Amino acid sequence: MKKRKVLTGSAVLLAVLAAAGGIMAYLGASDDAENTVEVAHDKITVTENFPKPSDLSSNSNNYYTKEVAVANTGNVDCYVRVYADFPDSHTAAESYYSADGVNYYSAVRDAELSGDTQTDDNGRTLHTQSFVNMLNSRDGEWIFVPDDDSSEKLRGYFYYKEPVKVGESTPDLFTNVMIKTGEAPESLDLVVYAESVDCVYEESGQAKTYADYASAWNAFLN
Amino acid sequence: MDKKKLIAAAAAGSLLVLCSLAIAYFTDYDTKNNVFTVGNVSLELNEEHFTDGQLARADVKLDKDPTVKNTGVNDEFVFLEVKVPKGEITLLGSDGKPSAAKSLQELLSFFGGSGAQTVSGSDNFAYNSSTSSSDGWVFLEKTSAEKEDTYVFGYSSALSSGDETISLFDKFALRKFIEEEIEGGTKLKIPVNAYGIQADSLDGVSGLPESGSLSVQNLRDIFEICRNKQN
Repeated sequence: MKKRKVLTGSAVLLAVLAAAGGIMAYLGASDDAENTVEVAHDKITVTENFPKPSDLSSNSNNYYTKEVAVANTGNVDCYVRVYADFPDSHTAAESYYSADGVNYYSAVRDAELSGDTQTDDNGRTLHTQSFVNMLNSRDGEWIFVPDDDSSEKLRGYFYYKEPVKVGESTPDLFTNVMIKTGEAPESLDLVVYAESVDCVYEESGQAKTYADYASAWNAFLN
Repeated sequence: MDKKKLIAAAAAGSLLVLCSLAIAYFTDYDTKNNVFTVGNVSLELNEEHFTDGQLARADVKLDKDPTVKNTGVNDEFVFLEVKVPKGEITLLGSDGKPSAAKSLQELLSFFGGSGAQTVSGSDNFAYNSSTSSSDGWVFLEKTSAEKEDTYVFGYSSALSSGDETISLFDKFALRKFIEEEIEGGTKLKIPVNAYGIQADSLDGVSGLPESGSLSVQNLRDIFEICRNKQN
């Protein structure tokens, strides 16, 4: 009787050991890492404060608020440039941009570098000097690359010289527009268009930063 | 065993039990801590130079260097599994022109150090492979799914306690494709999984060498056991 108990006990023990052997047959371990990267992209939006304009009055100076800036809505710092022009050259010849709401400069790109001024009834000053020449002579944040510039591919655009950081915006390129009209004014267009380029580029697998806006745009346009 | 011996043994057993119960009545005692160790397999997946959440630009190489360290007691065979995200893209050549029609492609390239080997049939996955004179990684398999491809590599020999593998690869980059085919700001996941299994007494795998490098088939057989343990 005792022998039977011993045998039964041994069988149970062996079964337990066998089961443990099955569970512990191979010892294993694991570890993991869920790594994430984000696809870089330069993305911009032209931000305008442009209240619905009133109809053009005949034989008058028509003033409008039009605050043009560019916001960086992407996830990388970028350079921006803006094309702004009246498609109709006759309209351009009678139009002015202002960056301060007081001084208005000719929208004609190749107007004189400096020129006459006249003051209207509301204290605004109209300059015959072109807006683009005024910008370039100031050597400010915005610069215009004229149509006869040696950098052929950069011509015809306004460039913001500093990188626009993620979530930030350029200062206004201009804030007001004035359009002189004759007897029978017609509706007109002012085209504003902006582009951006990442401040960082790839060279031999490495991330490099462009030295300035011109090198960034020249590389992009090549 | 005669009856007297049985009685003596039983009495001794009873005494032991009594001693443990009545120990408070004795003025002296001694204890010993007997530590019984069991096998221990443990590992750590390291990516020393990887920073999570980085911005990925086309062809700009970012650091990513997965290694496996044996943090257990036993020798281990170790494996790495890497999942590579895919998308419908038009790959661009170095001249910026499309090099192929738009199709489902892996979005990332991987780069090893000097002497890195490219996975057979791939033009975007290089790894630090084993050589005749040094340990390294051995490509085992690639499986494809709609949203990702999965690569599995095994380390060429058992990893001793405290040792660490070389990196599977050192860098990766977003492949060059037409902008916005993958929307900017998209977060791409690159999961890496490490597996380890005891190197001793692995009797479920035949043909294992006593020491040194394992064959591709050895590693595939061992990884199959790892995979089954996970499932």
